[in-house]
Amino acid sequence: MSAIGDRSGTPPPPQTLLDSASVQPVSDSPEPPARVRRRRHRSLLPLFLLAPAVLLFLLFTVAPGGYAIYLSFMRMKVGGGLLGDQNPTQVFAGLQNYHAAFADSEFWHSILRMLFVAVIGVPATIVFSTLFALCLDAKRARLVGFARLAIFLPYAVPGVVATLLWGFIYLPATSPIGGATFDYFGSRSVFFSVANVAVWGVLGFNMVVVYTSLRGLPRELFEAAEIDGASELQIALRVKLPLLAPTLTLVTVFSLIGALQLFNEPNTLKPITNAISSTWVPLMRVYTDAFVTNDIYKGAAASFLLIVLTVTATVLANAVLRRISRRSER
Amino acid sequence: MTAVATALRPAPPARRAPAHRSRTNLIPTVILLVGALYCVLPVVWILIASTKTNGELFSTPPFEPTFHGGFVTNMRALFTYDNGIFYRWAINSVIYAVGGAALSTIVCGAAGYALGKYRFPGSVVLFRLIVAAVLLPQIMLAIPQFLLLAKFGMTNNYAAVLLPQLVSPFAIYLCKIYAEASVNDEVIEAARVDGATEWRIFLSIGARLLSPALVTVFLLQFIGIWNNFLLPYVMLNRDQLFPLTEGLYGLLIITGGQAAQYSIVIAGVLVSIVPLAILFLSLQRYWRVDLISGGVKA
Amino acid sequence: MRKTHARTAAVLGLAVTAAVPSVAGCSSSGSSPASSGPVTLAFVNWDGGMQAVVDQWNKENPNIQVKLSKPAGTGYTLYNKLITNNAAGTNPDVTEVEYQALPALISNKVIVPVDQYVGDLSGQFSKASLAQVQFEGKTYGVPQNICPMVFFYRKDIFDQLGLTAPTTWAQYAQDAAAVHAHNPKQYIGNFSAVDSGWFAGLAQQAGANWWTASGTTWNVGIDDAATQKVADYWSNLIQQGLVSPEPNWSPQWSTDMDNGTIIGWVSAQWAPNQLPSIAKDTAGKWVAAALPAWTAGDSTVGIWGGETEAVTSNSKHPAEAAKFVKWMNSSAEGVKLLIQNVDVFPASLANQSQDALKTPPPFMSDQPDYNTLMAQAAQNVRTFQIWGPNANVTFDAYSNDFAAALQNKSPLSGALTQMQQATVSDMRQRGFNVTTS
Repeated sequence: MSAIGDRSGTPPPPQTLLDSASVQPVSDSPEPPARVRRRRHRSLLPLFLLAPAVLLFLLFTVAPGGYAIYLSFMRMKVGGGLLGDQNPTQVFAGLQNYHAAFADSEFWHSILRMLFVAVIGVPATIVFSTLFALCLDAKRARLVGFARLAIFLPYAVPGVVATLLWGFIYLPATSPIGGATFDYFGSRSVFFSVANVAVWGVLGFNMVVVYTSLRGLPRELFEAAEIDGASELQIALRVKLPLLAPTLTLVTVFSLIGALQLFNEPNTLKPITNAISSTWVPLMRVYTDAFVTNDIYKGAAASFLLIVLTVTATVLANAVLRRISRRSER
Repeated sequence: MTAVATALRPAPPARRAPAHRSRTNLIPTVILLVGALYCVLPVVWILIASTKTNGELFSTPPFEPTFHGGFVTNMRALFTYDNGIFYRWAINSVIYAVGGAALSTIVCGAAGYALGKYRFPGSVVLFRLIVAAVLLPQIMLAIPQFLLLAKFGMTNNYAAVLLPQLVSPFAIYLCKIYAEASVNDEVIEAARVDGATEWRIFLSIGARLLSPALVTVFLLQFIGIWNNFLLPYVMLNRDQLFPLTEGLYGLLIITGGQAAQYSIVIAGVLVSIVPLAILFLSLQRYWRVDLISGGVKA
Repeated sequence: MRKTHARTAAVLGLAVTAAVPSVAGCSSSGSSPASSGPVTLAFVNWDGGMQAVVDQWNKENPNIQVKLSKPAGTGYTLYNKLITNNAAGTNPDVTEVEYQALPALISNKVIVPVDQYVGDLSGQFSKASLAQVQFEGKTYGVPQNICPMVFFYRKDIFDQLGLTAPTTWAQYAQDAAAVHAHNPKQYIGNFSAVDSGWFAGLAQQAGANWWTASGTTWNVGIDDAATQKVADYWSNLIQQGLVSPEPNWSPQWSTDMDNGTIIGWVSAQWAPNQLPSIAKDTAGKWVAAALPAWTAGDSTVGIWGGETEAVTSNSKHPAEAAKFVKWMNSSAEGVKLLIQNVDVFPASLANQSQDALKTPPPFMSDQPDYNTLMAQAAQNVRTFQIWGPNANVTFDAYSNDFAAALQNKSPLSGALTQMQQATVSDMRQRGFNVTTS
């Protein structure tokens, strides 16, 4: 699923990924250079070990990406005849598809809607997963084991299934939470309804990430604060939270990337409500272009634009959040 | 790489019974309880709903199970639907998720080890490329992947779903970092001196020392593939090839000649959640989430 | 047939082509139309009960074995995958196609004309049916069924309220008000934003012509006066809250249909096939009546759905494929099997009086003359002159714009304008000559 927090692929980069890329990645290797050089001649093993990954990467990431870029500059021109079936050809379209995407207000609306969901879902994910992690870590809290498993449980539920499940919960006919009196698919409430499904799915994973990092912090600090007379709440807010800043940065980047890939939840809810269109979020729009309105060229352009926007957004978010977290560490 | 070293430390033991028990810390307990209810109730609802017939589903109170044989009827209907295609979907899911995750772990583990333990021309560039690719959302590639494979008539089979998911830049990154930190160069050097080939070293020492990272990569990939809806959704055309998620979605959305079978879908949802939940909860011990957050503890 | 055409487009289907390559085709040397030895045809169809029809064919034709593959979803996702996979040559030999999607498949050379194999069909089918499959003098399939629109209502509840089936749309509106006044939670029906084919059928009845062709020039008139009339009529009912906005096929709508919240359904011939799973507790309570008319006494109706089987350009055995299609959709034996197993009302004229049609569908067992009503309606069918080559774009725009109009409670005529614009600009961008009236 592509919900906030990204369950659809491997998790997004830890914050330091960018650092390690720009810094010398092997700088801490203890080996003297001489031996390195010697080993280079000694074995083909590393090349052999890398070959499958590199090959698959070229075939399934680079090639499709390149093909999408190529397609985005083409279009289908119908041939002669009423139905244009005499000689349809693929012709160069220049920037036409990009123009179309940029000029299409629906494209920007789909991005806006996705951002709305993100604005609701990302902070909710961060706040609640941190809150739960801090509670798990609190002294003399009970039911910790049960709560940890319970909150993690939704992560094992595939996004589409989770959405089917919540769909039943929202619909008046089956709603156990007052769907008969409250419209979960109102023009505004639908954003919360979609965000809720996404948050539900990834809350547990993020909580475990934060909690693990919390457990890794030096306990002495908390004990010292306690001796100084700090209350449990003060320790949580003044000591633990600042120390968690780098992890929270990571979780935020996770969640943002996840939000950009929002697809399963609105796509699964679409048939049961008038509130969600076939172009509700960017990825649904790409899907519609390719598989509903049969314009793979426009879809390719939109998809390439999205990739560019996503990568830019991730890099920016990463940079900004890193600065913030550095400041808070001081 | 002190960060990694820190991260690799086994997670400190979870809180144990303290020396002197004292009163419950009420506020965090209540908060946790509320959170647990929020997460569990939908699953409980599906459990209760699975006891109801289609008619009862819409006419009885949502949190009140019924005992008129609805559960058995639903399960029977689920497993006999369309000549038992549900089994097929379940097997497919296992093939995609277990098979895909296992292959992916091998591919990414091998690449990570090579990048972590060897220097060769282009290794730095390659690593940087991989790190950059982590930023590329895989899911957005699903449609271009389909278009490219379709061009060569390679869609609509198991490979079309498996292959594109094998390489995970993040998994390679994880294994590379882990290999650097945990596979001791002296051990390797000693093995070389003993005359072991690079191959043997990789298989007997490297792979073994990498295993915690490999388990984590496996589970991450497993979840990733299990949850990946879009890729099979675009690649596959025949219901015989669907994993569970597409199958259930199809049952609810369009069911070729019949309107949606809600009670069957609900039974299917339940059946597909339970084994996964058990698997995950039981594997939690091996699931080194700290590896993921490890990178940030600089 | 059946709901799929309808919901289909709007509701994005699952991936469904079943692009099974024709297996036996690989062994025989290829493209000769009358190849010797047994031939296997891959056939994609999503209708329940189709296997029985195929089994019978296979029994009688050991040399042309048909392998049925049932896609789990339908609609434009299917068609667009056929288009995308066409170049790779992996499409099945025969595929089910809803009438409105044929032009797009022809335009992309996914399917081939079958005139040379099926001969002249003009004596066997009505002009309205043939218009669905013939383009520029070529025939792209043998029409399977005809799906005139019909009004279904809960007779028991109508009786309680002292109402009878409305014969005109004016009366339908009055009845809608009466039902709602009696119980504000009850509706005479719903306006479905997911079913563009449904709305197209209503527009056809009112005299609309969304697409017309002369020479190689298209005229697009989705917002023509007739369609505007239909949109305004429903807009009015929606604004007054007299019809439910729930989309067809949603769990909510099914529940409402089952528990008597919604007591009528403007639908089509195939509805009795769907109703058991939509509202199974209400068997025997529904009755079909002629669709309300715009002017009393006018029995013109539109169609909702309908399909043919088409032979793909990837097929290595087009002659055999066409033979199978013709047998299924026009022979007495094939059609009888279709009636009995798939509940079709055949497009083939000679078969519209088959004995098999004398029994009503099980769900309508209390209405023995069900198929007589269908036969009458079938004679009064009016369709668009032609379906446009991008009906998919139109249908997608319908589901988005009409859903938004329902959600925002804005007039439907605005949505109609957007549909028209989306369709015209897409056709122009693809290089068609387009005028608007």
